[in-house]
Amino acid sequence: MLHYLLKLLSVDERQWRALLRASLKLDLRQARIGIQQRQNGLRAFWFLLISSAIFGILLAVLILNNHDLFATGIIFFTTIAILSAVTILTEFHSVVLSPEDYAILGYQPIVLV
Amino acid sequence: MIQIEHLTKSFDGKVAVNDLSLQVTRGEILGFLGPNGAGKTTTVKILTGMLQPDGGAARVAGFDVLHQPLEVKKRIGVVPESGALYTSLSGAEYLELIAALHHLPRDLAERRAHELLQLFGIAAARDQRMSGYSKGMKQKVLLTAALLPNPEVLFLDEPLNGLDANAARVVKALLRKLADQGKTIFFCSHILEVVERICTRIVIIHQGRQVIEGTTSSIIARTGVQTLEEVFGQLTGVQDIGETTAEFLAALERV
Repeated sequence: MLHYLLKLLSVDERQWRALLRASLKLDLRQARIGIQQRQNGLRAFWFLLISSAIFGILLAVLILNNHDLFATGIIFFTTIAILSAVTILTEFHSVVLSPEDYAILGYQPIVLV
Repeated sequence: MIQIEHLTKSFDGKVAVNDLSLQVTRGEILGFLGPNGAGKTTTVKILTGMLQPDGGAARVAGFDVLHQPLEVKKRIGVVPESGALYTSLSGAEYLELIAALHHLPRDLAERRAHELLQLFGIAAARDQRMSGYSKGMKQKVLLTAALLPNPEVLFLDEPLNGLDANAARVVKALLRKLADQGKTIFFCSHILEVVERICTRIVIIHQGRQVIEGTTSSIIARTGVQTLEEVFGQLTGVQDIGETTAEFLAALERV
């Protein structure tokens, strides 16, 4: 299925698989380093914990007090969408486009669709 | 194999490459010299399809770098000056990625990578993450990655950076053999002794413009000095090192 989809989109399958494999390895390994760094800074960890808790409680109260399923759904999914957008914006350099990638992969014969 | 015609590139009005024209034939090792900021790396970036020139044309391995960059990239190996690598990957994983991007058969890529890493003396560290590698080890991985697809043309921007004397000897011997096999090598370096010893021809650029071109002996004969170092100084700025050093020491004493 994936093979046909990639063929349909004129994506070079071997290159795509190699890049995806490398990208996942990099993400997982860098994330692990990030967690270690955060654990070293106890203040940063507590800040993250408390801010997430406050945000979660506010969202829960808002949803619990609203008995309209449609409105609750809109609030919930809008919040998720905003959080995703903020993550993409703040982590743009590592999640979407990294200048490091161009310096490393720019010399390679990667087929662009 | 490499043809450059009237190549020009500017950054914010500052000319980095100024009407540069040159040719490199098959089996030649061209030493591309110049002081810092002379335009060497910019030229390499244009020739490898990383930057678009403002004017002029360039062909590598028979393909136009501006209009056929993919075809050019399939036929070249590059050791960039930046030394950029994915250091969270192991040496073996990085080389596996490069091999896949060049569509090398897996067994051939593995055999070549192993042989090259062994030649450079880092085969034992192939499965370790490159974040733990020394600068020299990273440079060896970059050289291995450039040689892995057996390219027709090699662009080496300061390839001996961080290498120990033994590894540098291996690289120099390897480059000579590759040139004998018909590979074209575009060699940028600040180490004039190395350039003098291994390059078949030299081009010196200054402020983006070619100032002299020829074999070491022909350049020395034309300029009437004793060494390539003196030629370089004469053409690119510092003419009398003794005088400049004395001025610097006098300035230090005054402070």
